[in-house]
Amino acid sequence: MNSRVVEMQNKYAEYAISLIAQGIMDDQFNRVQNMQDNSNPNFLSEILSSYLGDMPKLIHSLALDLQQQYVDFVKLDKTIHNIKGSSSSIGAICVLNACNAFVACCKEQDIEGCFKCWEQTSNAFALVKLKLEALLILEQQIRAAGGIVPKPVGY
Amino acid sequence: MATTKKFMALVVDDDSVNRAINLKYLTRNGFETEVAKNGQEAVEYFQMGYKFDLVLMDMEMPIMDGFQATMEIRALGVKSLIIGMSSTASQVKIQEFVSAGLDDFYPKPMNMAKLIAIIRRLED
Repeated sequence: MNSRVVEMQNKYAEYAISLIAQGIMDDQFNRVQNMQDNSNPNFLSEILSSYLGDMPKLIHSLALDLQQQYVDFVKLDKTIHNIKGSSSSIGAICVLNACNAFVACCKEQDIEGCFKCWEQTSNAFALVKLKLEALLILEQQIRAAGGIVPKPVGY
Repeated sequence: MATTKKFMALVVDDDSVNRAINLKYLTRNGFETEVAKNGQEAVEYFQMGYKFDLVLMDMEMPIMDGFQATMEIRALGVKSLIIGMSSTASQVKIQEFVSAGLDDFYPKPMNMAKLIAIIRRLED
């Protein structure tokens, strides 16, 4: 096999493992990667692109809601719930953890706490976005070189 | 593939990522599938006479949520296996959701262990 492709595949596998080791993603991400197969070879990029495309609007809407004169904590909670759902489905554990803290602040109706949690959620998502976009670039490079994207180790 | 039988499933979720993942799990394991983006669309499937062995019902959705949709589907006399799913940790909300007419509830996300448990119930 083309040694360049092998090198890229190894880089991809190591990078994917590092996302979990760093606590950015969790094992659910491995399961999502493992779903990619010949019947849908673009499954991972489609799912991640959908997630990365939807989240900024939701995070922005949280910011707008927090800036209202009278904060609607029920509305905030619903939006956080949406972010939690998607994040847990793709294994973005750092975003999920930030959302759990946010839910707690909403429950307390702690506006100052909510602002801090919003910042943490926003930063967590920014990190996930950066890392997943880099992974998708590696995936594109492997395919362009005629290689197959490796499955996660142990799957 | 976890089953050789041909089951029909309806995935009800307003989130495209969750829908895609649930659909992938189901189709990979031999299910025929349809999709509803909210509870109202789900109810309409049954009102039009569609039959499903399994409904994966999200809890919080716009237009009509999972609680309302489950109650309305049961009111139509539907006996399909309805499994609620949500990322909520509120035991009160989960219990209310179950009381609306669910057969069971699983926290999100879907995985093979949960799907196998669901298939076993369908095969019984």
